[in-house]
Amino acid sequence: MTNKQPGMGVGALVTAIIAFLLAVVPCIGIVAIIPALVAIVLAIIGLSRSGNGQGMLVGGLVVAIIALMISLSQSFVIGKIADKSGSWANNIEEVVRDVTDDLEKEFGNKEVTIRINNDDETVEIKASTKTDELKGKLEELEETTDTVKAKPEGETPGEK
Amino acid sequence: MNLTSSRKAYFSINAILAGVILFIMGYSAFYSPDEDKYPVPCIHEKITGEPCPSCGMSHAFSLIVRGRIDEAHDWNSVSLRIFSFFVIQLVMRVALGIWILTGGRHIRQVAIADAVLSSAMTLFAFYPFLRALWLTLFR
Repeated sequence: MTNKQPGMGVGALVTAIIAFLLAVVPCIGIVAIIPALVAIVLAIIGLSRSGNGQGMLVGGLVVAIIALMISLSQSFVIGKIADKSGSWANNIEEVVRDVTDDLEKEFGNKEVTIRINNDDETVEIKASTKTDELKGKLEELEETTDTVKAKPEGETPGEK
Repeated sequence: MNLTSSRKAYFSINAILAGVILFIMGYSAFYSPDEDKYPVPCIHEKITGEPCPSCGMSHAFSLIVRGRIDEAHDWNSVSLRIFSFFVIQLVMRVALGIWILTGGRHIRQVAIADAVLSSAMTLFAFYPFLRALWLTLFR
């Protein structure tokens, strides 16, 4: 090794090790692309200049390439998860729609009563979801609206 | 101190890596886990909206340096394994640095053994992350 090579070798190896440690951590894995590329460049420059004793440079190059590959695969993972997240949203929408349909089928024509007991007091809420009943009420309301429209001005709907 | 070229190189690697580990520990000690004002966001979570296997690591490291191991485990179950790796590596770097300065012999053999041992330790420490990466890519 010439006098200049140890510095280059140390730089390449240390940068490669740091890149590797960054690359394997999913939170910051993508960032490792930069030090990995720096280490590769340093190692290649060092290797092109040196004659013998290239252990550290080769070591640095190998570790940097592995770090770069891991770092790139982290970005693939992020892409893959982002895609899945999109499909999860669609799946959730489908599930909600299915559940709503099932609930409509199950309770669409029934009467629901909620009773709340608090010591002596009892509150009862009746909610009829019978489709026929609801249709009838809707028709009734429509008729009332028509009658209100048909009556002359000044007369209120309650007056008969 | 007159060190040969290879000794100087090996000493530099040990010194720089020890510095990096001390920086990580200093970072963990500086930021309080109770205030939760860590400057490094999870890029993975920002992009995907999903937490990654290393989420909560900074918080867990801050708790470990304060001796709150159980809480650290709750934040990130892998944190203790990785923190132990850094502690062992710091001890190794300091010990090897001193050994080089005091004129230890067979530096080449020691360096190779160090590289093999440290690689194995790295793979063991970061195995859960590598496994998660593998499963996501090839599942």
